[in-house]
Amino acid sequence: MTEPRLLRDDPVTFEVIRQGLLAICEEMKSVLMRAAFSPLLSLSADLSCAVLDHAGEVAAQGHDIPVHLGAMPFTGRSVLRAFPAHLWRPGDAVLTNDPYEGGTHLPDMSVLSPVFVDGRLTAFAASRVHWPDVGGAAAGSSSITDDIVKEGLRLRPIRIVEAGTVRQDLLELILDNVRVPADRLGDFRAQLAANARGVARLAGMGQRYGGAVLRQVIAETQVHGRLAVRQRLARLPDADVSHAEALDGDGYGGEDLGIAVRITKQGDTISFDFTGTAPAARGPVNAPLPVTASAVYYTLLGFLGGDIQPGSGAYGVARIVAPEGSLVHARPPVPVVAANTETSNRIVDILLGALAQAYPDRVPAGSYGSAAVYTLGGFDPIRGRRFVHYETVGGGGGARFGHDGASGLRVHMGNTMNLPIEALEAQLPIRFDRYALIPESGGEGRWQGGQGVHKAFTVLADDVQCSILGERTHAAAAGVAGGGAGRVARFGRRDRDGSNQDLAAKSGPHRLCAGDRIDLFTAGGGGWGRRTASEGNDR
Amino acid sequence: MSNASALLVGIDVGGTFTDCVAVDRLTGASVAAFKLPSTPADPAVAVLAALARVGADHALEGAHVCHGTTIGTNALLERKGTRTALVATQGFADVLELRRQARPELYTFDVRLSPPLVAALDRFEVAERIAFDGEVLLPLEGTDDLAERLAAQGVGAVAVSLLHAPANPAHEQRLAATLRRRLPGVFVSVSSEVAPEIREYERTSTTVVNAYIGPAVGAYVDRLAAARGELGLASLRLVKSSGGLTSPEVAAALPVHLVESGPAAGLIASAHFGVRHGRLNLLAFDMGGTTAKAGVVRDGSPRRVHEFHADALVDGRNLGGYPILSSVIDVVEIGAGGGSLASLDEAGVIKVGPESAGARPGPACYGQGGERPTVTDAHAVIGTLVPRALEASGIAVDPALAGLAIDRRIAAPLGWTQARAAHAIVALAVAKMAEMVRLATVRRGLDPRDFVLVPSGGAGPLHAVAIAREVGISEVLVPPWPGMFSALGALLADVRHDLSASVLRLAGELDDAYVRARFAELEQRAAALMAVEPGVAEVTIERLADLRFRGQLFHLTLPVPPHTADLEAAFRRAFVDEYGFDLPDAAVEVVTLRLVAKAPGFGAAITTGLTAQQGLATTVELTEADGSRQACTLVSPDRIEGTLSGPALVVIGGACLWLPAGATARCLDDGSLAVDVGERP
Repeated sequence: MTEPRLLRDDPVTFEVIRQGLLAICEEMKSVLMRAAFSPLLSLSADLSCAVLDHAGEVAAQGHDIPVHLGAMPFTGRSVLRAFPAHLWRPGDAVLTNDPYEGGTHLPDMSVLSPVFVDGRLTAFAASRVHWPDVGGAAAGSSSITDDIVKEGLRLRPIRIVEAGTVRQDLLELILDNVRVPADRLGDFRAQLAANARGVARLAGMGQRYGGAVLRQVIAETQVHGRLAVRQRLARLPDADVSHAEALDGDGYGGEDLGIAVRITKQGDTISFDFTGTAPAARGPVNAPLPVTASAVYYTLLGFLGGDIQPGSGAYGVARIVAPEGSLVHARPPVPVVAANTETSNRIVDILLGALAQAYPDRVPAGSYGSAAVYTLGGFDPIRGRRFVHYETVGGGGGARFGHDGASGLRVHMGNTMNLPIEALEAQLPIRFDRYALIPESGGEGRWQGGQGVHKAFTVLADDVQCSILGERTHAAAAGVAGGGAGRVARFGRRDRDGSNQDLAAKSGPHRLCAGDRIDLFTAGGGGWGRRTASEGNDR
Repeated sequence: MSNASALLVGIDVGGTFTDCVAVDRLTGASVAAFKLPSTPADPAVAVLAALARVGADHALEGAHVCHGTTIGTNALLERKGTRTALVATQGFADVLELRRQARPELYTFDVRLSPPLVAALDRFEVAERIAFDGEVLLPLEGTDDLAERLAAQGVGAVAVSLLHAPANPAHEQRLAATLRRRLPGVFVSVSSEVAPEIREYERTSTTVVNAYIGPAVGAYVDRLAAARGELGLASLRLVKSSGGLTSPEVAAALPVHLVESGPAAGLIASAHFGVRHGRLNLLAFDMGGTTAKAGVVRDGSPRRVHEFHADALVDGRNLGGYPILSSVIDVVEIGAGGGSLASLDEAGVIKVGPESAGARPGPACYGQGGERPTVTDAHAVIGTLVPRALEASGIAVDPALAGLAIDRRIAAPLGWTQARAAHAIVALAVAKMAEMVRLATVRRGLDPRDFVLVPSGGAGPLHAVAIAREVGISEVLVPPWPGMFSALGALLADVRHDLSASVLRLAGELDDAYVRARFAELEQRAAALMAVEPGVAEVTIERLADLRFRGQLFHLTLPVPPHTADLEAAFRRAFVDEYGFDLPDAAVEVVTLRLVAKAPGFGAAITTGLTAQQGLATTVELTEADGSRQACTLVSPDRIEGTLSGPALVVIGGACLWLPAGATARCLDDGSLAVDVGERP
């Protein structure tokens, strides 16, 4: 453990540099969004940036996507395993999207760029960017398959940029295996531009304060995070609680999808033991360990108040036991794409369900437990070009002590924005029929659960592939302390001939024709506390 | 401007004080500068009182009055606007509450959001649908029925925002005509008039804010317009968020453009003084009691953006706020000021802010019951808080109370001396400000070292030199009246109207005829707006275009070249400059055409002699971090001869400049101070 020298003797310099590291993450994000090509990045911000230390641990991270960021230390370590410190040169960049070894799911492309100060490898600028397509069986690379190979192109760490020169052969190999490669090239160039900005700013900081001080602060951010988590934990009563819930299907009718957790909080330690969780499923709901860990880290930091700066130091306090080969520790070649958006949010709700038994005032009720992803792809006859499209839909948040749950927003592990309807209709063969909150879909309670969302659209072209990854069509979001459950989700397809079909929580790829309509109803959040006739609703 | 009269009066209404600066137009010298307590219940009372006070000594007849106002901001921030209904396309009335579906803060279960300004029961839907290209898919029906339901609802304002209205405003216009006829006395705000840009949530939000604050702004503006007649003023104008001036009549129709009026005036003033002294790249830095703001002036012009989130920051939390599509001077704001509280976190690290002691109880040293130390208290302990600078606000300072608070909350738990803790608090406040300055520059691809810092606000000049050193800025320019800078700024603005037209077509598809026709429409609208501004002459027109690669959200704004065919190449060059790469195969899209119509204000008349003659020159003692005492000069600018070397404190126009050892200052002809920040000794 690093001796916290600056933190103790010169907390001012420590804080100044630490704030600077956070600003670098924000600046990288800004470059990426402004230069990126797909709406998923520029409009939805499905991307994350971080500063890693020389060993790949997170020193600072942006205000981005929790599931991306919690997995970042795994990415750093896996890249450093593939490319040990002595192999790096200034101007290099390594790309990976391997979900089993530190990635999240295949569409998330991570790039690490080294920062040298005084000739020493001091840090990495890191970014993770969701490509709307990375090849595989279905447009949008987010569908129902039974093998990682069908989910798209898998890249263990590769050195995509060598001393400032992009490896054209590797880049072409990648672009030839994804849909709408011109757009992906734009996204990739934007990502490199963001990393370059991060590297330049970190190098500037090293010049200003000296490499030794910069390295010291980077090391001590982790001490600081660890201390903050430990001290908060120590103030809370001890607990030993367990909870289990089942996922809402894997797209193949799989039923044995239970996730179990036992949380033991003792003094300033806390452990999360997933023993008893079902084995990996056939469909894409399996969570790689970094995704499961992300959900644990997010829950822990939220549980402790939400104001501790996230990073490897804070994360490291959580002890995680996740049986290999289970739903929460996927191994090759099981498919994983839905874990990022669906399983991860359900894991959070399961962890919260356990914590609610001991600390009902500190945690919210269950949420819509999902990102409710739908993807589209095909040929747009109006504009004469191929297209892919990926969007998430918000839902109900769980109520908590003192407050109703938020309605129609993203919860927990994701935070990507919706795409403006007017912008989408101008770019894709699609027309929206409805985008509205679902009245009374939040669970009843002293404080009510947030409302789910109804989003409906009609496609305007033939042969459009459509996939849906959702949750909670069966398992409603539970209330806390006597609060009611939220309304369940529902997904449906209405063809132009008038025939209706209910869709499973995870389904696709469907083949849609012009005039066919998709309806997505996301779940409501759970309520908090019993609502009694005498006191009415305290809101 | 014609009709030369003797007096120019600038007034800025802030949360605590209403500032007033009067300048003799013939000599360019200030003849009055004072603060009155604001009158939040009816802000016009303080404005009229300020005019009366000026009028007691000077003839107001024929005077020009320019005014920055927070009337709209306050109605929004305090939720004192009018109960407002929203009319939206069938199926989409909840777009307002669904927002962009992202939550503003991440790792907290305590999700807090700015509440929607229109309650669910006041959201109405109407059967109609227009496609992205303007084609009517479903004709508008049921407008009379809707008008009846709205009348029964008893709302004071209605916002109308239909899908794709920028592409075809016909439905909105028909609806608005019916509502205006059927609902007399109800303020009707229409998206294609208020913010004709695509992106339904942001446009709807803007239209709703416009409706929500419309009646309050209207009533206020009517009072001022009446006073204009009674006092025989030549003109009375309001500062918009863009930093441009407008008549009360135009302001009343589009009140949403007034939301950032106050900060805008400050930036205008910074630009003015910088340019006067040949400094074209400036960083305006305003630090008051609870917030600090930073904005950039490049090549003599404040940077403007076309979208911002009002009221996002509440008590140090980001609640998302209300997006407003409106030309606004780009200001970065953080919740840290003189009143920011210092505390220790569990790891023993000192934090400054985001919590603030506010106006009540205020800093401990104000003796109003505050027990937690603030940045101001740290200055009281060090000795850099000069009671003389606070005279205008009637506040007395007790440094002993400041020392007690710092001892209890910071020094004792850390085992530090009071002096060391006080210096650490100031250093952290400076670090936060420096970070904000970097956000305003570095994050936008600008190097702060290329800029001159212009501080304002009660606490700005006190921290300016330290911040400049922290970010590598070598010069600080302290303007006259930094403590009443926005009032001065209101006088320096141009009459300005920003208009836009949504295009969303590939650059290659556009020809000169199309572009000329669209700009002709905008020019016509601009001419109509200028026609109701009294005494406007010499209108200049700028034509700009927002361009991007198709699929991008963010665009670059460029001047439109004479030949439309050159537009794409100009964009590609600008993109490479900004991001370092081009995408030869990607299509370039024109998002919006923008037209800026400007007519000059009074800035040219304001030249010299703005310094008040205070005749202050004495010596005080400061406490160093190691507890030792250091002698320090305390002067007013009129007593600076040649070059003043730090350590020194300069009391200037309602604020105090802290000149640490190693820094030097000289007084310029208009009462500004030019500071060479030097090296840290």
